[in-house]
Amino acid sequence: MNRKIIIEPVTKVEGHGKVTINLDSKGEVKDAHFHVTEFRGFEKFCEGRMAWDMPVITTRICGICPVSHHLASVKACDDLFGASIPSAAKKLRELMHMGQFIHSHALHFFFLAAPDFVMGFDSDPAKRSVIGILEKDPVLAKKAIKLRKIGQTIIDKVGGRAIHPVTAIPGGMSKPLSHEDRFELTAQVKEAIELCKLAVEISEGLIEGHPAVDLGDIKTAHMGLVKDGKLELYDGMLRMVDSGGKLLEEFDPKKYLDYIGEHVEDYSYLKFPFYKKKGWPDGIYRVAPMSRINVADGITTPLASAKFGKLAALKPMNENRYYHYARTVELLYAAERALELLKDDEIVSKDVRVRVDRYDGPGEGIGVIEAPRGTLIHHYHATEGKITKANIIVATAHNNPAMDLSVAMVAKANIHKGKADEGILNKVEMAIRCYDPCLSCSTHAIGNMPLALDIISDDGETINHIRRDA
Amino acid sequence: MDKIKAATGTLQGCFGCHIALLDLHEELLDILASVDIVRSPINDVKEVPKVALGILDGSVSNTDNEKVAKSFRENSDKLMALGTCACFGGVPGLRNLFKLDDVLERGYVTTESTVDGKVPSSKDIPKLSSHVRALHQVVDVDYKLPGCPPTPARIKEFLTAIVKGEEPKLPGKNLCHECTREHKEMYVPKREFLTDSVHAIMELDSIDDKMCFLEQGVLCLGPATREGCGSRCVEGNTPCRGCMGPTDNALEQGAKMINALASILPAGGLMFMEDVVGVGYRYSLPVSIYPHLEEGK
Repeated sequence: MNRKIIIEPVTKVEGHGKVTINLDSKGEVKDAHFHVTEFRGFEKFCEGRMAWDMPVITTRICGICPVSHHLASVKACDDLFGASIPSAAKKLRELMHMGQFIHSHALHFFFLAAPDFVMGFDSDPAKRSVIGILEKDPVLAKKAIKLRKIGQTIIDKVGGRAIHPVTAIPGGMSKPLSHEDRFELTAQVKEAIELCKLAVEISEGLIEGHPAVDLGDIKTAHMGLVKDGKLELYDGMLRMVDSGGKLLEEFDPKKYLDYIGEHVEDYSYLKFPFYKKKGWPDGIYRVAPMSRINVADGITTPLASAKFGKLAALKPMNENRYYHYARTVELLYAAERALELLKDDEIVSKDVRVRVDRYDGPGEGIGVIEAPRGTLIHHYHATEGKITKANIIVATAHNNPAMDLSVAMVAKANIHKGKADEGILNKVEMAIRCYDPCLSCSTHAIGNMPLALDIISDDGETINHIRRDA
Repeated sequence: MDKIKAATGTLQGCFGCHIALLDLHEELLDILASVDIVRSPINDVKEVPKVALGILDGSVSNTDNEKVAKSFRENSDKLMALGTCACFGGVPGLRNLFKLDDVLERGYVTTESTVDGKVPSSKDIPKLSSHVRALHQVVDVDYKLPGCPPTPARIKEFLTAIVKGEEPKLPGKNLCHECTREHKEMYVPKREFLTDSVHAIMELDSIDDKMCFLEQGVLCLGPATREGCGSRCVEGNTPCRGCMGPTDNALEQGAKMINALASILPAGGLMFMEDVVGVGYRYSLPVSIYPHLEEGK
């Protein structure tokens, strides 16, 4: 009898994601898939919108990393209108971006991932959340809250709003940074650096304390921005290395269509990007912190650079558990980089924009940035300032093929003769979570991901039901 | 005071409203002292626990969203729509301007990077509704807190009132009431205070951070938008785009804006011609009477 196992994270009810595992007649795993169950259609309904409004429309793609969309979009608009922005504007945008990395990475590490580590993987799931940490280690929990707050404060002061910022406009920024805000942010960022150091320490302990767990580790290529070969989050060249760390490509992000294609599967609303020269599915690659470290030759800031050596010794990293360590090193980089930018007197320059004329003819613009969860691409065509075509590849999408594969590997390794136990729930969850997909954030923000697993026969009868509550 | 039990969930949205809740930072602990969030989000539709207060953000755009909305309604004494998507449909509601098939075709077939695309249709993924709806268009809603997202302070104030058993209140005037920018020309009785052209903000030689945007020739949705957001966009030296939605007095946000422009400045019509729907109804298309393609209106 063929059977199907459905693992539903919270996201089923939220319309975000779920996992199905199909068993053959012997109860062995035939295939398993990760489904993203949401589709909104920005690439269609942005048609007809005014191009200069795109940076404040596309922020609504994601409330966790709106800054990435805001900035990728405004870069695409700069490109579309041929605007060359003042260097102070570039610095302000990068500062806003660092604020987002601090908020988003801190959210993931302390609020979502750390509860497992601090409370223990086997602890009561009800306590395995930031609220649980508050009870067990209130000092640490308050530090976590503080760090994320500093990130959001940077975005608020530079971007006008912490969620869905508005100040990046084609040609630069709508307002400069005040001296008062610079002073206040400098003090806060110094504190953030200390908190980030703590995050790195904790994550280092994790790697040492937790030898390889089978998290569906796969070998793939990796991609991320670099500038002069070093880790870069705002603007640079896209570099791709193979699973062994060998350089495959280094290209101008504006030429992304020559290198990146998107495959569609019937079972997911999220597409599956791949490296065109190798084709689908051989061209699978990954993005986000571990991949960015894999492609980079180094890090420019001193404290993070000191940690880079340890990570570099692990390269090429393909094991998903390294994502956490790489993420905290990036967190430290973001705080250090924010301080560098704040120390630069140009950060309070009033020269933050150039006037931009709408371009009446047909034109196109491409903006690429590293979002916390990986490379983000916005590509617009416009005529008379009106968008005629929009193509957006979001960060989580690049990791979609790898998540799909990881889930299948975990399932195949752990389900035999139709038997699955509760342990599989944790492993599937961890295999997905280490990629920090947006949908994972959605389900993790306050509590732990509750999971249910049903083994269903062909005629729809539930044979077995395993659940783990939040 | 006894803690009240609450559950939160997300429909189709960006999760920004939940981040806004988290952005209370240490003050979130004050909320947790009086609200016991038993599920957030909730894992299984059939097992949404009975709660005093259900909180949903996001709009309703597929069969899963609909199930969750109904399940929350069934199990919550009071149901709260959190944020503009839940209240009015929000930005994703702009999908209603197009036929669903065309939206899917663009997403999965004709996008420049897509290779050999096809529209996903497996029964393992929910079916999209023909059009996006606000929460109250699917189930009865007791409280609505608009904002994209609402400010953390507003969320706290709103929840605190509910916990105390009071009716939560929203400021009822338009954003111009809260905005501190100066009007120099607007109330002078002459017909042509504005230039003969209107501008995108990027086209201004300099953006005056003290003067009303409308007077600078930049479309600002302040007259048609509810106050209570802290004027954050305007403080950021960019015009309002209406994310708080209309006030109770306005039937339609876009129409209200056209009305406001017509009465305060003759060039107003011009200003709105470029993308009347995408600006005037950016956050409220699903609850507007503006034609929705799929409905054949």
